[in-house]
Amino acid sequence: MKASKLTGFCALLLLLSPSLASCGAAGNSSAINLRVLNWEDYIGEYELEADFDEDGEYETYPDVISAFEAYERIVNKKNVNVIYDTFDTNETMLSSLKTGKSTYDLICPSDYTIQKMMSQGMLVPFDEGSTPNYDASVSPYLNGQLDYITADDGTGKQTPISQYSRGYMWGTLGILYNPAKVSEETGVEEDTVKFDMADWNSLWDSKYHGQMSIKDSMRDTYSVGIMKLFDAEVKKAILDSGYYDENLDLKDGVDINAVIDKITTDPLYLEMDRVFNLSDQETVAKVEDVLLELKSNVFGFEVDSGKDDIVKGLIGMNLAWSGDAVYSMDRGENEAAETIYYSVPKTGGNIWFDGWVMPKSDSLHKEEAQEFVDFLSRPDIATMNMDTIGYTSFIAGQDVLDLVRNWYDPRTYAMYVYHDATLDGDSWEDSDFLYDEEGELVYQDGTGLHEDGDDYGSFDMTGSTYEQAVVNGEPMSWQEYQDLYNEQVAESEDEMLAWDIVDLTYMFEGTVETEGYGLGDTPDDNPYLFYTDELEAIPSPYGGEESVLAGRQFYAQYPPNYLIPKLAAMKDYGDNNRYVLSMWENVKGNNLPIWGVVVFACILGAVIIFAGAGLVTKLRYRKLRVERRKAARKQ
Amino acid sequence: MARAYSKTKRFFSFKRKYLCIPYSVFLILFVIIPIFIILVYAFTGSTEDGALYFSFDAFTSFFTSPTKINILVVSLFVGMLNTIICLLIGYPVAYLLANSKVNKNKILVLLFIMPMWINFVLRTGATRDVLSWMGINGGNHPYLATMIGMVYNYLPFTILPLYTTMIKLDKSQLEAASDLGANSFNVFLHNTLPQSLPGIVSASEMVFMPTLSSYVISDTLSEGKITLFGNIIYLNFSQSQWNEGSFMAFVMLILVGISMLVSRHFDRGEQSERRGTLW
Repeated sequence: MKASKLTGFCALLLLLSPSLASCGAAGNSSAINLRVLNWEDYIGEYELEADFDEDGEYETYPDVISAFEAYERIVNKKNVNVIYDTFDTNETMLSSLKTGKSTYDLICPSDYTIQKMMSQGMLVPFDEGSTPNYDASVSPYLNGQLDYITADDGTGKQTPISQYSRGYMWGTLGILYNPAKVSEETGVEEDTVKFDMADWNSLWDSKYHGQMSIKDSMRDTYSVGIMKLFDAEVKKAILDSGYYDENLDLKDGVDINAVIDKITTDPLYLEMDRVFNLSDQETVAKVEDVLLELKSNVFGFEVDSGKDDIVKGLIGMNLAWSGDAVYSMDRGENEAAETIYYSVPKTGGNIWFDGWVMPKSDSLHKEEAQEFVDFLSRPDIATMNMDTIGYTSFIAGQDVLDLVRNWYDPRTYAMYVYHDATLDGDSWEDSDFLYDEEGELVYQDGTGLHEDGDDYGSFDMTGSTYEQAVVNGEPMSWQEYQDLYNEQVAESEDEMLAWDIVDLTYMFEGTVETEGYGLGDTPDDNPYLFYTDELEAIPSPYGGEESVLAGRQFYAQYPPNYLIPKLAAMKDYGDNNRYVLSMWENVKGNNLPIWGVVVFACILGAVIIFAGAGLVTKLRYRKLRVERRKAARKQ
Repeated sequence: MARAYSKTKRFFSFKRKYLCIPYSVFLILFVIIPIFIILVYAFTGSTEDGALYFSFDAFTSFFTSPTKINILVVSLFVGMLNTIICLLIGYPVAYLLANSKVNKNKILVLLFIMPMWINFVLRTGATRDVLSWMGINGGNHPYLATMIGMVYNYLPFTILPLYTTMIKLDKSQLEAASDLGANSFNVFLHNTLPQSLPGIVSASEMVFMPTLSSYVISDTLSEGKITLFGNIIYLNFSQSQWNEGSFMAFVMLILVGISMLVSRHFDRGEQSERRGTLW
């Protein structure tokens, strides 16, 4: 029995091994092994449909990697086999790369690690024009950021990292918080919590003592320390720029998109960039004091448990990366009925990138590596990646725009029927819009579409588009739709529609077709603008005119454009890394607590007493023995 | 013919000590050489092009850093406290388990050892959930949470050696002592305790040293608020500070050596043959 099982297994192995090696029957006998090293859970893992041979028929692929292999087979007539590995921190990746013999064709490190690898001469530049999809669809703002960050490329010349890398995902570092939970624990009003979270200083506020976990990651927590330490300087720079009023809100009439267009020469950005990248000994020492203070006010440090802890309700606030924040907010609302928010404070913060690089090696498959990056940069593939991992792609383009509209734009919810799968007992991941037999989205008509009798729509929206609403056959603007809805449907103030407009020109400009649009200032007329219903204006609970906008998933994935000039990337510390490291050791280390000293002293005392007592007894017995022997001898 | 045979015999004669070869190879590759590498890194620095040179930089940076020394003291404290608590809890348990009336079929021992079958990282995660459900967490009581986790994890390692010593206790001695008029406290103090000393020593060894270098438990249960020596070594290695990291690993090695020497001292003489454990 055992033997037959074993033979069966061997036979299976024999059958599998040729197919593994050559991966399908594309004819070409020599398969190219493309070795890719990426972060864990950082690529599309859902089934996708694509038509690479353009015969009009869509094929289904189990995930992005197998779709790439098929793409290479069909389009480039190459037999590529992707060997996909993952890593968990930049530092471990870097040291395993330096010591190990393993070679990779593509790695996806973070911004500062790209800089470091470049300056150590570990990277090969991308060929110009080798990634046409990327060049066509990358967000202009993000590409500008990669152009702005430079590193010594080994020849002593400062070269932008955009020559050596192609951006993959990006995001911010902000505060993830559950106002209901924080309010319950601390007694602070929910709106006060939402208001306070727009300020880094709140993390140090003793009324939020023990509510928050921060990152057990040197660089991220250091950046928060910087924001606290230089709060006054940063505020001054923001006011000096002239774009913002005294509440740090955008002034009326300021064309922020024009500012973002020239962001890398903008004085505010340059000042943010300077402050954010201070890592001299003096600054580090000051940050240490600030972080020690923070340590005594937080719940704890974490790197990956925080995103689940906040859903479970163990903590109320978490320092989070935007992608993790999206994950927590989704899980919170779908599984735990918790409304979790995300905030990048008004004084700005950290923006980070992960990008693809090709490390130098003798066996580098440069052409295929570039093809892989370009494949990931197809807007349709980028949406598949975003859909799985929750982070935001560098890639804009029409598919991504459609995805963003589907996810966040209330116009979508107004015109199409959304199917809430949880009502049928399915998982929330199955929730989706309804499609008819032809695969077209089903419009709202409120006339008993649902078998269970739920009346989902209020109007017949047939014929509506993102450009105009068609309500019961009558075309109108989406603004008019809101008024109509408020007049005819809304039963109370709470149900009134008042959609805010989010301007994502910085992300999508030049990557989508704009013919037929007037590029005006309503989303109907400008594809770069989106309506949103998730932003909540919170007036100051402390009096005064100030108010903040509390945001959630959309805000986390695509920060509103008024935040953009206040975001700076944190570069490699270079030689100053050792100061930061020893600062971090000091922050993480503890003195023995007083009770510990007492216990320690007691233990030592007990040991000494026992040892002394033992010694005394021993000596006494010896004395007795000697006396007895003497007495015996006398006899 | 006979000569040829003896020649072959000389070539192929099997000796029992050859059985040690696989382990010796393992020992050299994975124990001796790595320790040597640690030593090399601990007392060198590297220039920009990667060449090593002899230096005491790591040595001075360790002994001039109050933080690192503090962390070491905290680790020693946690290790000592953990050992004592484990012994206080484990000793009576092992004594009872060794009594065959209580522990028929040895099922009870199995129950105490069973947690060791589950991966300890998983166990620690579960401990965190249970503790937070009870209202104890790293946010409010980092030391308490850590100590509970430590004791929970290392208790089986205490009970096992104590148990193996206890079942070999010389019962006739105990009976003789009470026959000669010793009360039960004196029987325990002058007979049971000395007889079980080897078990106590090896239990302490099995708890104290691993506690010093553990970092997952303190990290998870104290929410990163208690940093042990293991954490700081890991941090240095992950930030490419190999020399500092190696030196601290070397310090740890010395501490382990010292604690072994101390335990050897308690362990001399006839008692040692009764030790039922690893060392």
